[in-house]
Amino acid sequence: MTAEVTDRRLVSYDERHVGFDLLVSVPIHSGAAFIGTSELGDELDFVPTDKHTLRALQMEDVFVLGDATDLPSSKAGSVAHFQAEILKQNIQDYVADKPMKAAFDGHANCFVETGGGKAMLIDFNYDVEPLPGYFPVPHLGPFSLMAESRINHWGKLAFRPIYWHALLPGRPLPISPQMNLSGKKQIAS
Amino acid sequence: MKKLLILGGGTAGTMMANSLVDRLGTEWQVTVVEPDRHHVYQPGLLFLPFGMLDDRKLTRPRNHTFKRGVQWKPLAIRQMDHAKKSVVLDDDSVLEYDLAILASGTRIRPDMTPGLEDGPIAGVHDFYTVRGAQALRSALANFKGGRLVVNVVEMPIKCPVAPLEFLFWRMIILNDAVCEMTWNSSTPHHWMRRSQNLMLPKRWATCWKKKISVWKPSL
Repeated sequence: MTAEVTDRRLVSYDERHVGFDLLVSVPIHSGAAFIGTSELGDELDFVPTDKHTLRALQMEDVFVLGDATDLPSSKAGSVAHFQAEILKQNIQDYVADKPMKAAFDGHANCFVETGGGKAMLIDFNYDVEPLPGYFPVPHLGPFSLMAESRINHWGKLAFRPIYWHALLPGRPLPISPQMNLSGKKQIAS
Repeated sequence: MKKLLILGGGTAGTMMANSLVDRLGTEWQVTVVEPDRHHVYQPGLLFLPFGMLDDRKLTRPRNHTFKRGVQWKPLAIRQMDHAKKSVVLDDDSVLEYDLAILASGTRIRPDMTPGLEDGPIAGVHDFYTVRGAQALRSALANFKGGRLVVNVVEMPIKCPVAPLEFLFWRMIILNDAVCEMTWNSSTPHHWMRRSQNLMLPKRWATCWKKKISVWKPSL
Protein backbone atom coordinates (compact mmCIF):
# COMPACT_ATOMS: atom_id res chain seq x y z
CA MET A 1 0.00 0.00 0.00
CA THR A 2 1.25 3.42 -0.95
CA ALA A 3 1.78 5.78 2.00
CA GLU A 4 2.94 8.87 0.12
CA VAL A 5 4.43 10.28 -3.06
CA THR A 6 7.37 12.61 -2.65
CA ASP A 7 10.25 13.86 -4.84
CA ARG A 8 9.31 11.51 -7.68
CA ARG A 9 9.28 8.50 -5.40
CA LEU A 10 6.50 6.22 -4.17
CA VAL A 11 6.85 5.30 -0.52
CA SER A 12 5.04 2.27 0.90
CA TYR A 13 3.85 1.81 4.48
CA ASP A 14 6.75 -0.55 5.15
CA GLU A 15 9.08 2.21 3.88
CA ARG A 16 10.11 0.73 0.56
CA HIS A 17 10.76 3.28 -2.19
CA VAL A 18 10.15 3.22 -5.96
CA GLY A 19 11.43 6.12 -8.00
CA PHE A 20 9.61 7.32 -11.13
CA ASP A 21 9.86 9.84 -13.93
CA LEU A 22 6.20 9.47 -14.83
CA LEU A 23 3.68 8.01 -12.42
CA VAL A 24 0.27 6.63 -13.41
CA SER A 25 -1.40 6.02 -10.09
CA VAL A 26 -4.96 5.00 -9.33
CA PRO A 27 -5.94 6.86 -6.15
CA ILE A 28 -7.98 5.47 -3.24
CA HIS A 29 -11.68 5.22 -4.14
CA SER A 30 -14.52 6.20 -1.84
CA GLY A 31 -18.29 6.54 -2.08
CA ALA A 32 -20.08 9.87 -2.67
CA ALA A 33 -19.57 12.73 -0.20
CA PHE A 34 -23.20 12.74 0.98
CA ILE A 35 -22.93 9.07 2.01
CA GLY A 36 -20.23 10.18 4.46
CA THR A 37 -21.97 13.32 5.77
CA SER A 38 -25.24 11.38 6.21
CA GLU A 39 -23.36 8.49 7.91
CA LEU A 40 -24.84 5.83 5.64
CA GLY A 41 -21.65 3.95 4.76
CA ASP A 42 -18.51 2.21 6.01
CA GLU A 43 -15.15 3.94 6.57
CA LEU A 44 -14.74 4.49 2.79
CA ASP A 45 -18.39 5.59 2.39
CA PHE A 46 -19.56 2.40 0.66
CA VAL A 47 -23.08 1.39 1.68
CA PRO A 48 -23.68 -1.94 3.52
CA THR A 49 -25.83 -3.96 1.10
CA ASP A 50 -27.46 -7.41 1.03
CA LYS A 51 -25.27 -9.30 -1.46
CA HIS A 52 -28.21 -11.11 -3.12
CA THR A 53 -31.32 -8.85 -2.90
CA LEU A 54 -29.34 -5.54 -3.08
CA ARG A 55 -31.40 -3.99 -0.26
CA ALA A 56 -29.59 -1.55 2.04
CA LEU A 57 -28.91 -3.41 5.29
CA GLN A 58 -29.52 -0.49 7.62
CA MET A 59 -32.26 1.51 5.91
CA GLU A 60 -35.93 0.96 5.15
CA ASP A 61 -37.12 1.30 1.55
CA VAL A 62 -33.62 1.79 0.15
CA PHE A 63 -31.74 -0.33 -2.41
CA VAL A 64 -28.12 0.05 -3.51
CA LEU A 65 -26.72 -0.49 -6.99
CA GLY A 66 -23.36 -0.41 -8.79
CA ASP A 67 -20.13 1.00 -7.37
CA ALA A 68 -21.90 2.49 -4.32
CA THR A 69 -22.28 -0.89 -2.58
CA ASP A 70 -19.81 -2.46 -0.13
CA LEU A 71 -20.18 -5.84 -1.90
CA PRO A 72 -17.16 -8.04 -2.75
CA SER A 73 -18.21 -8.00 -6.43
CA SER A 74 -16.02 -6.09 -8.90
CA LYS A 75 -16.69 -2.35 -9.29
CA ALA A 76 -17.35 -2.63 -13.02
CA GLY A 77 -19.96 -1.58 -15.57
CA SER A 78 -20.93 -5.20 -16.25
CA VAL A 79 -21.67 -5.69 -12.54
CA ALA A 80 -23.89 -2.59 -12.49
CA HIS A 81 -25.70 -4.03 -15.53
CA PHE A 82 -26.25 -7.51 -14.03
CA GLN A 83 -27.30 -5.98 -10.69
CA ALA A 84 -29.77 -3.71 -12.50
CA GLU A 85 -31.37 -6.77 -14.16
CA ILE A 86 -31.84 -8.36 -10.71
CA LEU A 87 -32.95 -5.17 -8.99
CA LYS A 88 -35.54 -4.31 -11.63
CA GLN A 89 -37.31 -7.62 -10.82
CA ASN A 90 -36.90 -7.23 -7.05
CA ILE A 91 -38.23 -3.68 -7.00
CA GLN A 92 -41.32 -4.69 -8.95
CA ASP A 93 -41.91 -7.46 -6.37
CA TYR A 94 -41.15 -5.11 -3.48
CA VAL A 95 -43.65 -2.42 -4.49
CA ALA A 96 -46.28 -5.15 -5.09
CA ASP A 97 -45.63 -6.53 -1.54
CA LYS A 98 -44.44 -9.86 -2.94
CA PRO A 99 -41.35 -11.75 -1.76
CA MET A 100 -38.23 -10.82 -3.74
CA LYS A 101 -37.20 -13.81 -5.83
CA ALA A 102 -34.22 -12.57 -7.87
CA ALA A 103 -30.77 -12.98 -6.35
CA PHE A 104 -27.51 -11.40 -7.53
CA ASP A 105 -24.68 -13.97 -7.75
CA GLY A 106 -21.73 -11.54 -8.03
CA HIS A 107 -21.49 -12.03 -11.80
CA ALA A 108 -18.86 -9.88 -13.56
CA ASN A 109 -17.69 -9.97 -17.15
CA CYS A 110 -14.72 -7.92 -18.36
CA PHE A 111 -12.70 -7.58 -21.52
CA VAL A 112 -9.05 -7.15 -20.63
CA GLU A 113 -7.07 -5.36 -23.35
CA THR A 114 -3.69 -7.05 -23.76
CA GLY A 115 -2.29 -4.82 -26.51
CA GLY A 116 -1.51 -5.38 -30.18
CA GLY A 117 -5.21 -5.45 -31.14
CA LYS A 118 -6.03 -8.35 -28.84
CA ALA A 119 -7.94 -8.80 -25.61
CA MET A 120 -8.91 -11.49 -23.09
CA LEU A 121 -12.32 -12.02 -21.57
CA ILE A 122 -12.90 -12.98 -17.95
CA ASP A 123 -16.26 -14.09 -16.54
CA PHE A 124 -16.76 -14.93 -12.87
CA ASN A 125 -19.00 -14.50 -9.81
CA TYR A 126 -18.88 -14.57 -5.98
CA ASP A 127 -18.07 -18.30 -5.96
CA VAL A 128 -16.46 -19.16 -9.30
CA GLU A 129 -13.18 -17.57 -10.30
CA PRO A 130 -12.35 -16.92 -13.98
CA LEU A 131 -12.17 -20.14 -15.98
CA PRO A 132 -10.73 -20.78 -19.45
CA GLY A 133 -12.96 -21.90 -22.33
CA TYR A 134 -15.32 -19.85 -24.45
CA PHE A 135 -18.18 -17.46 -23.74
CA PRO A 136 -21.19 -17.89 -26.02
CA VAL A 137 -23.04 -14.74 -27.14
CA PRO A 138 -25.64 -15.00 -29.93
CA HIS A 139 -24.62 -13.08 -33.12
CA LEU A 140 -21.41 -11.67 -31.61
CA GLY A 141 -19.44 -14.49 -30.01
CA PRO A 142 -18.17 -16.89 -28.99
CA PHE A 143 -15.42 -15.00 -27.19
CA SER A 144 -12.41 -16.81 -25.77
CA LEU A 145 -12.07 -16.81 -21.99
CA MET A 146 -8.71 -16.24 -20.28
CA ALA A 147 -6.97 -16.24 -23.67
CA GLU A 148 -6.06 -13.46 -26.09
CA SER A 149 -7.92 -13.05 -29.36
CA ARG A 150 -8.72 -10.34 -31.89
CA ILE A 151 -12.46 -10.93 -31.66
CA ASN A 152 -12.32 -10.07 -27.94
CA HIS A 153 -10.72 -6.73 -28.82
CA TRP A 154 -13.44 -6.05 -31.41
CA GLY A 155 -15.98 -6.97 -28.72
CA LYS A 156 -14.54 -4.30 -26.48
CA LEU A 157 -14.67 -1.70 -29.28
CA ALA A 158 -18.24 -2.72 -30.23
CA PHE A 159 -19.34 -2.14 -26.68
CA ARG A 160 -19.39 1.68 -26.97
CA PRO A 161 -22.44 1.90 -29.32
CA ILE A 162 -24.07 -0.96 -27.37
CA TYR A 163 -23.60 1.09 -24.19
CA TRP A 164 -25.29 4.23 -25.55
CA HIS A 165 -28.05 2.57 -27.58
CA ALA A 166 -28.95 -0.62 -25.68
CA LEU A 167 -27.52 -0.71 -22.18
CA LEU A 168 -28.38 2.81 -20.95
CA PRO A 169 -31.92 2.85 -22.47
CA GLY A 170 -32.55 -0.45 -20.63
CA ARG A 171 -33.00 -2.63 -23.74
CA PRO A 172 -32.50 -6.36 -23.23
CA LEU A 173 -29.01 -7.70 -24.05
CA PRO A 174 -28.30 -11.37 -24.90
CA ILE A 175 -26.19 -11.90 -21.76
CA SER A 176 -27.65 -13.52 -18.64
CA PRO A 177 -27.31 -11.59 -15.37
CA GLN A 178 -26.49 -14.92 -13.69
CA MET A 179 -23.13 -16.50 -14.46
CA ASN A 180 -23.42 -19.54 -16.70
CA LEU A 181 -20.94 -22.45 -16.82
CA SER A 182 -21.63 -23.41 -20.44
CA GLY A 183 -18.46 -23.17 -22.53
CA LYS A 184 -16.24 -22.96 -19.47
CA LYS A 185 -13.59 -25.61 -18.83
CA GLN A 186 -13.40 -26.88 -15.28
CA ILE A 187 -9.88 -26.81 -13.94
CA ALA A 188 -8.52 -28.60 -10.91
CA SER A 189 -8.10 -26.10 -8.11
CA MET B 1 -48.30 9.71 -6.70
CA LYS B 2 -45.51 7.60 -5.24
CA LYS B 3 -41.92 8.74 -5.58
CA LEU B 4 -38.91 6.64 -6.60
CA LEU B 5 -35.72 8.61 -6.11
CA ILE B 6 -32.53 7.42 -7.82
CA LEU B 7 -29.47 9.09 -6.31
CA GLY B 8 -26.79 9.20 -9.01
CA GLY B 9 -27.11 9.25 -12.81
CA GLY B 10 -24.12 7.19 -13.93
CA THR B 11 -24.32 3.82 -15.64
CA ALA B 12 -26.24 2.17 -12.77
CA GLY B 13 -28.69 5.00 -12.06
CA THR B 14 -29.49 5.73 -15.71
CA MET B 15 -30.07 2.07 -16.60
CA MET B 16 -32.31 1.66 -13.57
CA ALA B 17 -34.38 4.78 -14.26
CA ASN B 18 -34.91 3.81 -17.90
CA SER B 19 -35.78 0.21 -17.01
CA LEU B 20 -38.26 1.08 -14.28
CA VAL B 21 -40.06 4.10 -15.74
CA ASP B 22 -42.33 1.93 -17.91
CA ARG B 23 -42.50 -1.07 -15.60
CA LEU B 24 -43.70 0.65 -12.43
CA GLY B 25 -46.76 2.17 -14.05
CA THR B 26 -48.30 5.61 -13.83
CA GLU B 27 -48.65 5.76 -10.05
CA TRP B 28 -44.87 6.13 -9.69
CA GLN B 29 -42.78 9.22 -10.50
CA VAL B 30 -39.14 8.29 -11.27
CA THR B 31 -36.61 11.04 -10.46
CA VAL B 32 -32.83 10.94 -10.92
CA VAL B 33 -30.64 13.34 -8.93
CA GLU B 34 -27.29 13.96 -10.64
CA PRO B 35 -25.34 17.25 -10.75
CA ASP B 36 -23.08 16.47 -13.73
CA ARG B 37 -24.60 17.68 -17.03
CA HIS B 38 -22.67 15.16 -19.13
CA HIS B 39 -22.70 11.38 -19.03
CA VAL B 40 -19.16 9.99 -19.45
CA TYR B 41 -18.57 6.65 -21.21
CA GLN B 42 -16.15 5.50 -18.54
CA PRO B 43 -14.65 2.48 -20.39
CA GLY B 44 -13.36 5.05 -22.92
CA LEU B 45 -11.10 6.71 -20.34
CA LEU B 46 -8.48 3.99 -20.88
CA PHE B 47 -8.37 4.77 -24.62
CA LEU B 48 -7.89 8.53 -24.16
CA PRO B 49 -4.22 8.64 -22.98
CA PHE B 50 -3.23 6.64 -26.07
CA GLY B 51 -5.15 8.89 -28.47
CA MET B 52 -7.36 5.95 -29.44
CA LEU B 53 -10.68 7.70 -28.81
CA ASP B 54 -11.86 11.18 -29.75
CA ASP B 55 -12.79 13.30 -26.69
CA ARG B 56 -16.13 14.13 -28.31
CA LYS B 57 -17.09 10.45 -28.41
CA LEU B 58 -16.53 10.11 -24.67
CA THR B 59 -19.48 12.10 -23.38
CA ARG B 60 -23.11 12.83 -24.18
CA PRO B 61 -25.45 15.49 -22.80
CA ARG B 62 -27.16 13.98 -19.78
CA ASN B 63 -30.69 14.95 -20.91
CA HIS B 64 -30.27 12.69 -23.98
CA THR B 65 -29.66 9.62 -21.79
CA PHE B 66 -33.06 9.45 -20.05
CA LYS B 67 -36.27 8.00 -21.44
CA ARG B 68 -39.47 10.05 -21.58
CA GLY B 69 -41.09 10.13 -18.17
CA VAL B 70 -37.86 10.20 -16.16
CA GLN B 71 -37.42 13.44 -14.24
CA TRP B 72 -33.83 14.72 -13.85
CA LYS B 73 -32.71 17.07 -11.05
CA PRO B 74 -29.31 18.53 -12.03
CA LEU B 75 -28.27 19.25 -8.43
CA ALA B 76 -25.82 17.78 -5.92
CA ILE B 77 -27.07 15.91 -2.86
CA ARG B 78 -26.06 17.40 0.45
CA GLN B 79 -27.67 15.04 2.92
CA MET B 80 -29.93 12.01 3.07
CA ASP B 81 -32.23 11.44 6.06
CA HIS B 82 -33.49 7.87 5.83
CA ALA B 83 -35.60 8.19 8.99
CA LYS B 84 -37.58 11.02 7.36
CA LYS B 85 -37.23 9.41 3.91
CA SER B 86 -35.94 12.60 2.31
CA VAL B 87 -32.84 14.15 0.76
CA VAL B 88 -31.62 17.76 0.91
CA LEU B 89 -30.17 19.15 -2.33
CA ASP B 90 -27.55 21.85 -2.86
CA ASP B 91 -30.15 24.61 -3.36
CA ASP B 92 -31.71 23.72 0.06
CA SER B 93 -34.72 22.11 -1.56
CA VAL B 94 -35.99 18.85 -0.02
CA LEU B 95 -37.10 15.78 -1.99
CA GLU B 96 -39.13 13.11 -0.24
CA TYR B 97 -39.28 9.49 -1.38
CA ASP B 98 -41.28 6.32 -0.93
CA LEU B 99 -38.45 4.22 -2.34
CA ALA B 100 -34.82 5.22 -2.96
CA ILE B 101 -32.00 3.63 -4.98
CA LEU B 102 -28.46 4.65 -4.08
CA ALA B 103 -26.46 4.65 -7.31
CA SER B 104 -23.97 7.32 -6.31
CA GLY B 105 -20.87 5.39 -7.44
CA THR B 106 -17.30 6.06 -6.41
CA ARG B 107 -14.97 9.02 -6.63
CA ILE B 108 -11.19 9.11 -6.65
CA ARG B 109 -9.50 10.46 -3.52
CA PRO B 110 -5.98 11.66 -4.32
CA ASP B 111 -6.41 13.86 -1.21
CA MET B 112 -6.11 10.73 0.95
CA THR B 113 -2.49 10.05 -0.10
CA PRO B 114 0.09 12.81 0.57
CA GLY B 115 1.68 13.98 -2.68
CA LEU B 116 -0.86 12.47 -5.04
CA GLU B 117 -2.65 15.80 -5.46
CA ASP B 118 0.51 17.48 -6.81
CA GLY B 119 -0.54 16.38 -10.29
CA PRO B 120 1.20 16.58 -13.68
CA ILE B 121 3.78 19.16 -12.56
CA ALA B 122 5.18 16.53 -10.16
CA GLY B 123 4.90 13.78 -12.80
CA VAL B 124 1.78 12.36 -11.11
CA HIS B 125 -1.11 11.18 -13.31
CA ASP B 126 -4.30 9.12 -13.36
CA PHE B 127 -6.83 8.19 -16.03
CA TYR B 128 -9.95 7.85 -13.90
CA THR B 129 -11.32 11.31 -14.81
CA VAL B 130 -11.62 13.03 -18.20
CA ARG B 131 -9.17 15.76 -17.15
CA GLY B 132 -6.74 13.21 -15.73
CA ALA B 133 -6.79 11.12 -18.90
CA GLN B 134 -6.29 14.22 -21.10
CA ALA B 135 -3.31 15.38 -19.01
CA LEU B 136 -1.81 11.88 -19.21
CA ARG B 137 -2.22 11.91 -22.99
CA SER B 138 -0.02 15.03 -23.28
CA ALA B 139 2.45 13.64 -20.75
CA LEU B 140 2.85 10.38 -22.69
CA ALA B 141 3.22 12.29 -25.98
CA ASN B 142 6.06 14.34 -24.44
CA PHE B 143 7.65 11.50 -22.44
CA LYS B 144 11.31 11.33 -23.38
CA GLY B 145 11.99 8.06 -21.59
CA GLY B 146 12.83 7.14 -18.04
CA ARG B 147 10.96 5.07 -15.53
CA LEU B 148 7.20 4.85 -15.96
CA VAL B 149 5.44 3.43 -12.93
CA VAL B 150 1.87 2.09 -12.86
CA ASN B 151 0.58 1.98 -9.31
CA VAL B 152 -2.61 1.14 -7.40
CA VAL B 153 -2.70 2.85 -3.99
CA GLU B 154 -5.26 0.53 -2.41
CA MET B 155 -8.13 -1.80 -3.38
CA PRO B 156 -11.05 -1.65 -4.04
CA ILE B 157 -10.88 0.43 -7.21
CA LYS B 158 -13.27 0.86 -10.10
CA CYS B 159 -12.52 -1.42 -13.08
CA PRO B 160 -9.65 -3.29 -11.36
CA VAL B 161 -8.26 -4.56 -14.68
CA ALA B 162 -7.75 -1.04 -16.10
CA PRO B 163 -4.24 -0.48 -14.64
CA LEU B 164 -3.21 -3.84 -16.06
CA GLU B 165 -4.65 -2.94 -19.47
CA PHE B 166 -2.80 0.37 -19.36
CA LEU B 167 0.42 -1.52 -18.71
CA PHE B 168 -0.14 -4.04 -21.53
CA TRP B 169 -0.93 -1.31 -24.04
CA ARG B 170 2.00 0.83 -23.06
CA MET B 171 4.33 -2.17 -23.37
CA ILE B 172 3.23 -2.81 -26.94
CA ILE B 173 3.39 0.82 -28.03
CA LEU B 174 6.78 1.66 -26.52
CA ASN B 175 9.55 2.11 -29.01
CA ASP B 176 11.98 4.06 -26.89
CA ALA B 177 14.86 1.93 -25.72
CA VAL B 178 15.43 3.96 -22.59
CA CYS B 179 12.12 3.34 -20.87
CA GLU B 180 11.86 1.39 -17.68
CA MET B 181 8.48 0.34 -16.42
CA THR B 182 7.30 -0.87 -13.04
CA TRP B 183 3.99 -2.25 -11.89
CA ASN B 184 3.17 -1.88 -8.24
CA SER B 185 -0.06 -3.19 -6.97
CA SER B 186 -1.34 -3.73 -3.49
CA THR B 187 -3.25 -6.99 -2.90
CA PRO B 188 -4.89 -7.35 -6.31
CA HIS B 189 -7.82 -9.77 -6.62
CA HIS B 190 -6.92 -13.41 -7.20
CA TRP B 191 -8.27 -13.27 -10.77
CA MET B 192 -6.30 -10.13 -11.47
CA ARG B 193 -3.16 -11.93 -10.32
CA ARG B 194 -4.05 -14.77 -12.67
CA SER B 195 -4.54 -12.49 -15.69
CA GLN B 196 -1.31 -10.76 -14.78
CA ASN B 197 0.62 -14.01 -14.43
CA LEU B 198 -0.83 -15.22 -17.71
CA MET B 199 -0.03 -12.11 -19.73
CA LEU B 200 2.95 -10.37 -18.21
CA PRO B 201 5.58 -13.00 -19.13
CA LYS B 202 4.58 -12.72 -22.81
CA ARG B 203 4.76 -8.95 -22.63
CA TRP B 204 8.09 -9.09 -20.84
CA ALA B 205 9.45 -11.00 -23.81
CA THR B 206 8.29 -8.18 -26.12
CA CYS B 207 9.87 -5.61 -23.83
CA TRP B 208 13.08 -7.62 -23.71
CA LYS B 209 13.32 -7.42 -27.51
CA LYS B 210 12.73 -3.67 -27.34
CA LYS B 211 15.34 -3.34 -24.57
CA ILE B 212 12.79 -2.09 -22.05
CA SER B 213 13.25 -3.31 -18.53
CA VAL B 214 10.21 -4.20 -16.49
CA TRP B 215 10.34 -4.43 -12.77
CA LYS B 216 7.62 -5.71 -10.45
CA PRO B 217 8.42 -5.20 -6.78
CA SER B 218 4.72 -5.45 -5.77
CA LEU B 219 4.84 -2.53 -3.39
